Amino acid sequence: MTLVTLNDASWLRAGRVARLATVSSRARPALTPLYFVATNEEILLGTPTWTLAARNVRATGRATVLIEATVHGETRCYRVSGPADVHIDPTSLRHYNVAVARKYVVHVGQWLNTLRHAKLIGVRRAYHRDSSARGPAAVIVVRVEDVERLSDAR
Amino acid sequence: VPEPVTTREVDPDELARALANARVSVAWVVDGNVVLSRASLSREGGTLTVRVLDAPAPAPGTEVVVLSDDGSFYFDLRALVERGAASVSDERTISLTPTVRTAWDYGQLRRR
Repeated sequence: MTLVTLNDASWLRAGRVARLATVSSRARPALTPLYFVATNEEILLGTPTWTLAARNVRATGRATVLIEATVHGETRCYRVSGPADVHIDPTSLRHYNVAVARKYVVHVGQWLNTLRHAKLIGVRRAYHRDSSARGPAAVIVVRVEDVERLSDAR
Repeated sequence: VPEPVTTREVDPDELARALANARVSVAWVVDGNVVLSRASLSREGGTLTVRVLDAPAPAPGTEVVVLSDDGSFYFDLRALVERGAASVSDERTISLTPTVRTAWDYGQLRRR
């Protein structure tokens, strides 16, 4: 197990979009970008139960995540992997939703983005309603088992 | 009359052009475990050349998924996922002709 240092954890929290890689029960890869919340022990990613990512995690119980963050002009990228599962209980969803709201919704950049796309707000509401009809909201929880800081060299 | 549904899907070719400078990552499976790496990507015709930055290239014929995405805020989020079998050029470079492509752009949410 690679422990996440406080410094690493602060970088993980600063990332905006994670790339989540999973494997299906037939050993096929999947890769998708998702919003996330990081703690010292877990990466939490929101996605409905019907998505390929959630179905794969339920099938195989593992996931790997790339998180890139830029702070004060410096960019770092981490690869995090570990056991994963899908949570749909109200407590997990509430915890995730509050953390996501703090990270993403209460952000001046998001407010400006929403203002610029005000005409799409109703469609977004309908999109999430359609998604909910296909399956409940869920949180993929990846327990941090291994963390690598990837080389800056490109 | 079918109920209108909302969609975020867009044309993969158009989005590929828009994502020419996007973040790229690539994943495949070895012995049941997923390998995930950053990548750089170039396109020529329908063929992708992918340079794998953080791992050795997968074995020839391995199914790979290439993700190009950008945006941080909701309506800027867009992504192109392309899936196909890898041909290996060298220890860090693969090429593939995608057999499945999925593209979405939250800035183009609409009813259809």
